[in-house]
Amino acid sequence: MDWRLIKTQTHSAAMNMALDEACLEAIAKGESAPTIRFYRWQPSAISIGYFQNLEREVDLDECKRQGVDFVRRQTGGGAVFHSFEGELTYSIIAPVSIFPLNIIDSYQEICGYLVDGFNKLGISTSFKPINDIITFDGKKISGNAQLRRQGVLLQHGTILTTVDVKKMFSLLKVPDEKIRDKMIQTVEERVTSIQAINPNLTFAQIEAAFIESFTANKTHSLGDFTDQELAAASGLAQTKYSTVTWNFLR
Amino acid sequence: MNTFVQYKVPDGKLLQLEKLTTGQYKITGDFFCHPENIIESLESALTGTNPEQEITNIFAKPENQIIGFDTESLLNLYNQLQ
Repeated sequence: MDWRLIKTQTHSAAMNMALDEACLEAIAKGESAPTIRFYRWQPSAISIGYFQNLEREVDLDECKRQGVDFVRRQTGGGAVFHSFEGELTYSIIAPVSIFPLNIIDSYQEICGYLVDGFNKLGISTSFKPINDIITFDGKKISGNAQLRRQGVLLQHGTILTTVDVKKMFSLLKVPDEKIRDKMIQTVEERVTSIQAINPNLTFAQIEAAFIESFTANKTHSLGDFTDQELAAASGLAQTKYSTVTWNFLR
Repeated sequence: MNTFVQYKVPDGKLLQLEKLTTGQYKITGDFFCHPENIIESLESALTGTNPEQEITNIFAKPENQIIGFDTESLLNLYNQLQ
């Protein structure tokens, strides 16, 4: 199986989600190769899981005040702050038949590529079910979310390069229930980032490590989205991912 | 009368249940459902004649994978809103 690797591109929140969907549709139709893509978000944005209530999760006034965008993902999971400066996102989109049928097992397999990537950077991590990567001291450094549709699996997730926890939580409404459950004094203790562990690592080095770990043992070619995918994505960004109907769906 | 409840499922996800003015329910949270449209089936089951049985049936179908909450969690929240 020949994979398509699309190196880091920067797009708006709506366009990033639209590209994921357009790519999935193209792979489902057999028009595109299974794809690994890396991307950044500009402007910085909050994405919420498909099953979340936007207004309950996100301080929309604060987002507007800080110039931070927002979008609902197709995937489940929680609210995520995609800082342009501090986060690299990946998507892997491929026929579901090449992954384990069990959802958690497939998370473990794909998260294994992340663990390998962190390893290349000298950072010891492990997969924590359901969908997290944690460091040796239990801090979250990556969150992931998956969907399966039309015979295609899409998993995307965050790779935290730097994290401004105060800014992150100024934009999110974290329910008391969660904090109480995890028994922590401050939300700053829950997450970490690559550059908090090793400030000398550059974005280029980080990107290179994960490109290597995701493509290991895979026949792959460096590529880009097709004209059809780009056209489809532009349409989806406008008619779906930028709309009140979609973003306030639940 | 309480119209919104939530529960962090141990080793699971945050599950929220809201009773709307229409009498219907909305299930939200940071969980996963495969396929995603199971959520509408679960919400509809809560307004059915036998929610417990209907919810159990949905969870029991092998093609449905609901990750982050279970039948008991959902029905506990449902009962809190009655």
